[in-house]
Amino acid sequence: MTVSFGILSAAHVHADAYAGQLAEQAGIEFAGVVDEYPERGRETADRHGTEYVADVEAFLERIDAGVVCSPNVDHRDWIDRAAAADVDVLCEKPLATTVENARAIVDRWRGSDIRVGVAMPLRFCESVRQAKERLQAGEIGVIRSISGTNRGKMPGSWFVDPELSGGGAVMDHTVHIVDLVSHLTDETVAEVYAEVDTRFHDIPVDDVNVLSMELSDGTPFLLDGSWSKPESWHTWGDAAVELTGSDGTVAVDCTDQSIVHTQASGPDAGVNRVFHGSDTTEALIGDFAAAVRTDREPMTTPDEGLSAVAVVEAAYESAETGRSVGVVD
Amino acid sequence: MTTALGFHEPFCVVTARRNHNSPYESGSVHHERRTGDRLHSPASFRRPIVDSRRPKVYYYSEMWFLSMRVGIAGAGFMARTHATEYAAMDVEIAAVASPSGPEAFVDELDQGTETYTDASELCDRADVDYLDVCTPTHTHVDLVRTAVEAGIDVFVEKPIAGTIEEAHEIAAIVEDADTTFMVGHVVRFDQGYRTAKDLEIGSEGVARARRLSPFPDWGSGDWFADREKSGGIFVDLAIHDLDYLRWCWGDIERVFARRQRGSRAAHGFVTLRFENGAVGYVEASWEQPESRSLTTELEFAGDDGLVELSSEAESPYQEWTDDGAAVERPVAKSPYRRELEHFVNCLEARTDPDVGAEDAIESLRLALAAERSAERGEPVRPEEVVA
Repeated sequence: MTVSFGILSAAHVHADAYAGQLAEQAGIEFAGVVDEYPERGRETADRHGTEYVADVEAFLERIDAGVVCSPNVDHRDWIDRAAAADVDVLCEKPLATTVENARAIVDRWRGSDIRVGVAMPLRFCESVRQAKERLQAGEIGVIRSISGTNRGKMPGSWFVDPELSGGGAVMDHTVHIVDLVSHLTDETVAEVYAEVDTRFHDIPVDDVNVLSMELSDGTPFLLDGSWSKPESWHTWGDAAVELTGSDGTVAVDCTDQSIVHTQASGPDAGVNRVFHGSDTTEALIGDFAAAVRTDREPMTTPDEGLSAVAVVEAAYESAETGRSVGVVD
Repeated sequence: MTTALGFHEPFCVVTARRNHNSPYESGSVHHERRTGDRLHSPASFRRPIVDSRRPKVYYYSEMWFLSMRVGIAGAGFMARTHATEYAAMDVEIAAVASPSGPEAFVDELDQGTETYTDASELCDRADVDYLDVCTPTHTHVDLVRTAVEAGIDVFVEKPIAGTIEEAHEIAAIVEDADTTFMVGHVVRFDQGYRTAKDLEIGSEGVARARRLSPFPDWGSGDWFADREKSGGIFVDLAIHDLDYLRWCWGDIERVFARRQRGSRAAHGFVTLRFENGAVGYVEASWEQPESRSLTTELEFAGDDGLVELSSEAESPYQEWTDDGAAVERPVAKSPYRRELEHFVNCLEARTDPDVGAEDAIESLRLALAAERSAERGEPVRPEEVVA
């Protein structure tokens, strides 16, 4: 069964990667792109051989599913509109910029028949899959401490406009590893102490994001999700987590399968790393398309997205108060 | 499985653990002079130098330089580690004191070293230029006092002491006697860390330092497992990086720490806010499996650059045999060698060593602040830690 997909706003930098998958994957009809900005929507559609559609509500009436790549603050609105049209939604992370909005999305999802997924591609990383298997088999015993990184370059554009993004590095680079740890341990973050600041760039949002957390079972969990990689660094950033258990340690580095490519001239002159591991975007879109097709839950559901948003909110509260803050359930 | 081999292992206490039974395997020690012959050796000329303190200038004869004479307190892993370095340094190990009996260690030295069970006897009787304190942390203050009362200069392993009170006591003792005194914060003498310190990154942003190893099982009487004696993971292990980061980025306004510990396992995280506004964190583990030798990582992220140093990323020497595989990172002079040479140079030149009591106290204060934060679940300002 072929399912028809649309891109619901192409604001996010990942929109092109999703669009590429929608255009390529078997069993998916890439029906078009809608966007707050016609020009951006048209350009994205043109790049992937589909059409830009101006009438959002009419478009929603004729597609099965949409991928929301809007600025963070608009996620709730897009999901509401999709739900009203009975369209399944895969939503970029973070699910929302506030617990209040994330909870509203969860309520909307629970009160409807639609499938809603949250874009957590790291869960599809092959080394993560292997870690999950090994942890479930008890290979490293009881998990005793966790250390993660999700550093990146400063993304610019609307990501640094708090009115659209809801925040900086804390908003952007907390949820991936927090979600991954929940996925791997079946525990959620219970407490957060945050050191947050703006020190790398002249921007109106935070770019230092160092979180000292504790899971619900008491396991310490440190995360550095700063935008601390220089623009000239050899790749976009990193995504890694190390779990020390009573009987062993497992370390996963989702970007550590790469070719060193040195370009002698041109805009990318210098040393670059080119990822050659399994494509997690392909797996993410594939999983969500299968969820739509067979009416099952996708890999990451809104309640899990809400948990990660709650950590972000607690981190900002900690930065504000200077205390370790409990994460709301 | 990758294990470090040989005596070229990386420098930290926790590194060479698999080899600690035989640090002399590869390093040969051939010292001819014996203590009993000293009346007939040029060393006997050393005492008459006029100075209110002990002599710091050593005569040169046509025949030879007079080597420095060290007394070592302790006969365990650190004592052996230092002894390996002394063998290449023309420092004579004149005496060793250890309550559990230093004979086995001294036999390995094979240089006519005197043995004592009591360090105060060593200080009173042996003719040594300085005492190298390689004993468990809780014994440092008494040994420093003993040495200083005997008029002997002192090198002491890190941490300076287990409490601020004891550390202050040490500082007062060495200051009153004008002792040449140094604390072995060896990371400052690691070439990689030393090089990283001076690389340009613009304004400081986030510092990251990790130090992971199996539980240290080489302490005599298992003193690492006794937190009263070792001070625990922050005071004994994280202090390496706390000291180093403070040296690089300056004083720290507040720390927040979490840790997990068992009877023979500990893993902790310390986040730092520097007075200059930068953020940092130290991860320290004594909870890695035996197959994972010491792993260290350092990053300095600034607004105009990034520094990355990782032990796992470097494999300048690798070896595979049917029995296994090994990665080594050989250096001409280990960080221990560099720190001990620095101290000996200070003795000779009569200058102050780079890591004195005040510096070591501030690093201990950071480690204790981390300990307190982990207990209370709150950030702690180091200046609150006064005991």
